[in-house]
Amino acid sequence: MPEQTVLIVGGGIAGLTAANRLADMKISSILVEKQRVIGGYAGGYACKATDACVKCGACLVVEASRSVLANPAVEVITGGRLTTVERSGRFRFAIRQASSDTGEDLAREADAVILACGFQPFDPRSKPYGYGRFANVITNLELERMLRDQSIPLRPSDHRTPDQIAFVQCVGSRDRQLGHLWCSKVCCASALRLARLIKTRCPQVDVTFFYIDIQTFGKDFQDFLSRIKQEFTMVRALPGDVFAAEGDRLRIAYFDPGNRKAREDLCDLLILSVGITPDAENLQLARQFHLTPKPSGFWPISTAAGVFCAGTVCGPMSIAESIVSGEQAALQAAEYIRDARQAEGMKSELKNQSAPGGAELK
Amino acid sequence: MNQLKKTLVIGTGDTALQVARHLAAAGVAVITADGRPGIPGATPEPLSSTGTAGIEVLSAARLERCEGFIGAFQVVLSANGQKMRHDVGSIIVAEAARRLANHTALGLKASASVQSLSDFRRRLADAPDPKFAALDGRTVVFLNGLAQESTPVIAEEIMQTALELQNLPDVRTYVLTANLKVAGQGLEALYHRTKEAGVLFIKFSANRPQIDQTEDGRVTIIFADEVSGLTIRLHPDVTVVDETIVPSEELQRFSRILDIDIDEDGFLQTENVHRWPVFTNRRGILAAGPARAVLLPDEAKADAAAAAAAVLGPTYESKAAPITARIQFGKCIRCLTCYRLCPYRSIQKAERITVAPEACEGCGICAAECPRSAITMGESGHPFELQLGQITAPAATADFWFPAFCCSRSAARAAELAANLNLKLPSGLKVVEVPCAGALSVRHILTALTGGAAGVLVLSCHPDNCHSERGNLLVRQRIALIGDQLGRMGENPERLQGYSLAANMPREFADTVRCFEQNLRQLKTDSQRGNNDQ
Repeated sequence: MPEQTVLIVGGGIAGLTAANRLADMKISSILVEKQRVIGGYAGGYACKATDACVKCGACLVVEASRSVLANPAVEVITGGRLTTVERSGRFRFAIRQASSDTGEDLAREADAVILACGFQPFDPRSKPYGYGRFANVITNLELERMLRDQSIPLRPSDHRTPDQIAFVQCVGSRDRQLGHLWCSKVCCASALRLARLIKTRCPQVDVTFFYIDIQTFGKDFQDFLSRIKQEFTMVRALPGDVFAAEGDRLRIAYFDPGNRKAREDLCDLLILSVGITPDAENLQLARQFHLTPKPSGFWPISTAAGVFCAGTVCGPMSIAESIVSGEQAALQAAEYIRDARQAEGMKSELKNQSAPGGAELK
Repeated sequence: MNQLKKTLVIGTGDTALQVARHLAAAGVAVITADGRPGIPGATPEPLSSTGTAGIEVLSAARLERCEGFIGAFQVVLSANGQKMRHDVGSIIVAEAARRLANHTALGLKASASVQSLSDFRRRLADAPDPKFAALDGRTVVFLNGLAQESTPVIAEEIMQTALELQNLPDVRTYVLTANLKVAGQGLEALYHRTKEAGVLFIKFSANRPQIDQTEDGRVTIIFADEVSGLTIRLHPDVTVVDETIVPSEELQRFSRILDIDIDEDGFLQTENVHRWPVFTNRRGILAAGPARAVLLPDEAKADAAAAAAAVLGPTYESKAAPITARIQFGKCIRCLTCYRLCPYRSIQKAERITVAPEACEGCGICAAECPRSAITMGESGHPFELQLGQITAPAATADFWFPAFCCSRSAARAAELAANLNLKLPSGLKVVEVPCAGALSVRHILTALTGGAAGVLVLSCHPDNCHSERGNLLVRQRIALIGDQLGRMGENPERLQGYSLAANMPREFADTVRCFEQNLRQLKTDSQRGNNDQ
């Protein structure tokens, strides 16, 4: 019998966790990642610790990637995409690797499949916040990168430290007009932690936070919330418009819920917390595996026999949740393989019993 | 050693049941104990009726004692006045949570017209059709998150119930809410369905409604609406009070008996990212679902799978620490310093004090703190100790160099990434990987300081991010102690510094080591100038 193998599509934290756990269960895996490196989005996030760890979990990606790369039971194929998928008993598929010299696809087989192919950050150009028009309007992901690469926030227009920054939450999430009837779950935690990190490193920075509802995260959330209410200006409203102001600054127009009047504030750097949305690039995969996305566009956790989904392809998830989801998919795949083996064993036993001659001949 | 897979699952409720089923289906023998003696019907769905082979159900059994370590726990359970010993390889706690209704905090008393969310839902579910007959009137107000931050679990139940009510004839439903917690699958969509059905959501930011209750239990709610500015007065026929989800009281006892850490709220998992998703500070003891956090049903279900996967993956065979602590019998004076300090409870107290290698994570804290130097890591010490000897050997004396002791889980990884990114690093830097910064003893640090190095840098994990809980804090204490002594000996204490980093901080790693190097060079220049002046 061939070795038991699971195909994992996606090398983000969910896929990495699944590969590591499958290896623990003595099941090998083939991990296909479309980017040149594994780690996914979380692999590029900054550590948000201030005086202590704030439990974002971004550091865990480093260890998860490292143990996948060191594990002989996991074959990692980066810069790869599935070209064909066939199913005749096992899954048979071809992978095209961008770096291939020969141009030939890699042929592989697997007994089960885990699709952990991730999300697409919302593109905020369609929102009236000036993204793509004003240099100093950036996304939370760009801020993550900035803090990881250079430790402090700098205005893209002149590379100076900003004095006033503002965060706008729910950009592309909780948005009926877009049909995005979901909360992206992670942005409150991420933005508030990033804001506190900035405040720790650059104490002169003033932070304004535009939001709808603050979502709970972490165990000491109540304390965290009372602290940020003192440190930041919290506005329970989303801006209507963002205009350019003198000195590459930004003018934010919003309805102030405090006095129910229109109001404008200035800031040097505006950060848009863009939502987690279904990745259109995953539709090809959905077709290859005959999978029907939910009305939201996210995928169910298990669909056809032997095909399981994990991580943010199933909906918005934090790093912690993506880890649980990867573990769950690993167990589901292992259970599927075990049950299929048992069914096969029973079939061949029946065959042996009904075969003429067989045991009596002896 | 013959290691058992057999698992004890403790808990009432769905998560315990799901864990037990996953394990039994994989052929792992499971014992479940519901932990609460004498409460009839404590298990919502009795396991015995599920007919899953391989699950031994000890109804109303109570955990009394636990000894041993992963793969070889001996637990004592009592039921009906009888005590039974069981040998199990792993223990999973999945005890269901409790709910406390927020009446008092809202200044309300329970009455027919003021009910907790659970009571109200139960009453509604049990009511015969037409359901509205069960209501003592037609105006229902739900209070959510006004006393204490709500959770997605409660928000979901409130929205579902409100939606159900609103669809009854002539019923008017209001939800008075602070932050509406919709961070769960499908909750924002549910919120929209509920609003479209006609449920009125009134949101509160800084202010809270004034809630008054008369002697006969009737409630009046007055508030200024934040959107319109109008003052609104509600006279609900039924006021539904939200609930705070708290861990089972039993978890306190389990924490004591199983010797595992418990958080401030009473959940069996301290918030340490290295314990994600279902691990505790002890190998082989897991906390799943409502025993570790407030989770939505689907999230708890995923937790159950994660806990089962952790048992089925042979973590204690393949994941054993490469180097574990050993106690030298002749040298040990049974002071129990190691026993008190071991975050993983791997020290076994018997006639001799020994280390259970299965339970040891190899952090080296015990070896660093043993006052008799009776503990070694492995047969001949941890590799970093050998490196320590090498870099201090005369042959290796470059004119200016310094070691940076880096925790294997954080700074050493950041150092690797910094090298991969070609960040500029000092030429005199010698990265020395240590299992945990807590493995560095006073002796190690002194050896490095006196071996010709310009200085010594210790890079640990951030506070609250140490896999061994306090290895980072212990090493900080030692650094402070040595720094103090250096000062008194006329040495510059700045030659020894400790900082914290995370694995994903390559940039900060490079900055820290460069900054330290500049400092050292400055110190050298200053002291040379000082010598010349004399």
